[in-house]
Amino acid sequence: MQKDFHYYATYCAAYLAGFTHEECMDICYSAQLVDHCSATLLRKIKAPAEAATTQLQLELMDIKTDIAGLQDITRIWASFHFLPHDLYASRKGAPKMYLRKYRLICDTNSDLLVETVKLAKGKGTQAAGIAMHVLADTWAHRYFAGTPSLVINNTDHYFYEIIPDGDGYTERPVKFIHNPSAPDDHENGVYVNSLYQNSETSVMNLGHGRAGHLPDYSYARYRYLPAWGDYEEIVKDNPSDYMNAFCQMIYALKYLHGDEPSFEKDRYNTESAEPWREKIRTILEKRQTDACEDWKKLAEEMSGNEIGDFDIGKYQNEYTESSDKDSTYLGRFIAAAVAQKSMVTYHICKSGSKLAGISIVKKSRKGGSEK
Amino acid sequence: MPVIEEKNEITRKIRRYRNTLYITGSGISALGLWSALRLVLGLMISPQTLLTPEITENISGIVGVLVVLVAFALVIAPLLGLYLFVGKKAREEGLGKKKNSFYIALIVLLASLHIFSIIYCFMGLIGIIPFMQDSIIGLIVSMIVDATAAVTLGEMCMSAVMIRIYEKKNTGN
Amino acid sequence: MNWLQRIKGIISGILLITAGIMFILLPDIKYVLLLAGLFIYLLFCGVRMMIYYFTMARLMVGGKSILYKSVILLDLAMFTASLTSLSPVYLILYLVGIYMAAGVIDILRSLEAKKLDAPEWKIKFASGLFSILLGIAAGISGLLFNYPEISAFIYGGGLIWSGVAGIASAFRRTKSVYIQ
Repeated sequence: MQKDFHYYATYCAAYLAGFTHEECMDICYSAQLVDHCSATLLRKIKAPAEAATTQLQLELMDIKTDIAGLQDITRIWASFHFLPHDLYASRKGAPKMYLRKYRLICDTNSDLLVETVKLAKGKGTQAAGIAMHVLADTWAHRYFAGTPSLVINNTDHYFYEIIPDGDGYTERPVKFIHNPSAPDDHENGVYVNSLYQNSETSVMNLGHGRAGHLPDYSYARYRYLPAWGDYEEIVKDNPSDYMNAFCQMIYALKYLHGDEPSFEKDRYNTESAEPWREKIRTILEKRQTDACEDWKKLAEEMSGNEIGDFDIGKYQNEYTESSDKDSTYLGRFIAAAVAQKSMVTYHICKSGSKLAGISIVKKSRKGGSEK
Repeated sequence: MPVIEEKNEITRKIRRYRNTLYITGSGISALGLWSALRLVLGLMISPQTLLTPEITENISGIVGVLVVLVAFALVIAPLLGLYLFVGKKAREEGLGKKKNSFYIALIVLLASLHIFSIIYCFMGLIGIIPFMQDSIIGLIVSMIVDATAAVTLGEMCMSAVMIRIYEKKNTGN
Repeated sequence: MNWLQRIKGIISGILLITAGIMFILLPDIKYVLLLAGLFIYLLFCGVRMMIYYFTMARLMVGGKSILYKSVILLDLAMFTASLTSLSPVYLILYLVGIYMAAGVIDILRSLEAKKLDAPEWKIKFASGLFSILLGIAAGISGLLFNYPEISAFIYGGGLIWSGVAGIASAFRRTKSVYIQ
């Protein structure tokens, strides 16, 4: 997903869940920061690199895809952008090395998602924002894995966009080009994707790179053959998925706010979204690569407050100048990010896969184990 | 199996065979180009692996080489054209575009040529054709390439036939 | 990186350096060495791709293309093995081809990095240009001035450099344990 949903739509969901304007700003800022908190940024503010929640294209281009590099990549992308659905999934006739990657496929309503939201309970607005980013991305990035893998993330020429046409739909083949500086041409169905690379662990095969930005466009509906699908066609309906993401965010935020007793899979708060459903649907269905303006207008209409634009430098001075960094905004964000990464890495390691590295539980002096 | 589920299973199989057609179509075009290049390179670098000693003894200077090259071009060019045509039609059908059943006959023809070549090389290997004994490795390489091509063409033929069978079944359902 | 990975990196680095030195110092067998090296490399690539197909790619949509590519690589390896009487001219052409191809790839990568405003694009561009110039030098010395020894020296130097870079990479500090 993009800034339009991670920042403005998250604000809307938080407001509908009962948070104050200031809390909503904290939550949505944190949600959007997940897409910016790279090792480069952390080095700049002298923060621990372990807290990285993303990797810039430049970092990925230079990264070595040896075992250590791949573990670094998987830790970040599987923890924050492609939360694995079933770490114990099986596939007939598949050897272990295939299954390790197959089990990292992202999908909605997973046990890990429940753990993610529960982990954020009582940890403040920054943790809530991170959890909402992870939740939203499970809807946009479903069917792809947060590890470089040709056999899981590849797509081929069988890729068709489904476009509303009056009462029905028409289809047209999607044309992919490999020019990273060219913008997507959604009018003519020409999109940029990553170059096909034979190598299993090439960074070109990370996440939804082979499908370009299509999964991140709320208006997109398309059908294709995922590499792992054994020729079973997937029809992705982003307007419907994004609406579900929005309603699930409201439910999750209500739980974090204390209005829901628990957070369970497959539950959505549609009642709070109902008065705004038509406006949200209009935004989601509009063919545009950036819906920030529309979402911002809706958010301001909802809360009656002005929503400041996302400013990456907003809390950096506070962090660098403070003597108690942990109590600053970024300090709390970093703590929450490390906790999320630890949790996901632990579960991946527990399932028998070393793709995200080795995770060990430190035993505390009091005799129990520390998590 | 309920009709709808069976139809989904048939559609999946058609997709699988179309994908195989697309890949084997690309593969056979590449194999054709590679075989042509290998023949030309082999002729330029080690002609004794391709021609009888009588011919190689009589080739002298550039003129002889040119004459032989042109003669091979008259054989290589049509063959290469066949490979590329078959590959193109297979890819088109693999993409779900126009169907052409004539190329299936050409697949069978090409596969037969490769099988004949395997037999010919084998005869050279066991000494029935003496001049070829000087290049055992070259013979084995040729047999491997021919076997690859024959299997590819066989898979292409099977995919094309299965698509037709399943599409008929689909329309029947 | 675990200890096994590091040892593998060091061994392959040492082998490359040894091959490079042999290529420079031994006058007669270098062409046989080049052919043998190329054969082993292509064989290794073909076999590795075939293993990849049977372990992973056979389960992927369109995975059969990997199988066909591996067979073509193996065919290429066998073809290389059958080139028993190769003139040094063709070997020099091969050297030039390798350097030019590597240089072109580096330059393309640098242009992509430039589009993303990456500062490292200049280094990559320079490295690519250097490879192309090396290739041209190898070609000119071998083909025009009939000094194939210089081409061999350049290729051997390239092998030594790859070996040194491989050993350096094996000593790279890595962190794989993640404490919860």
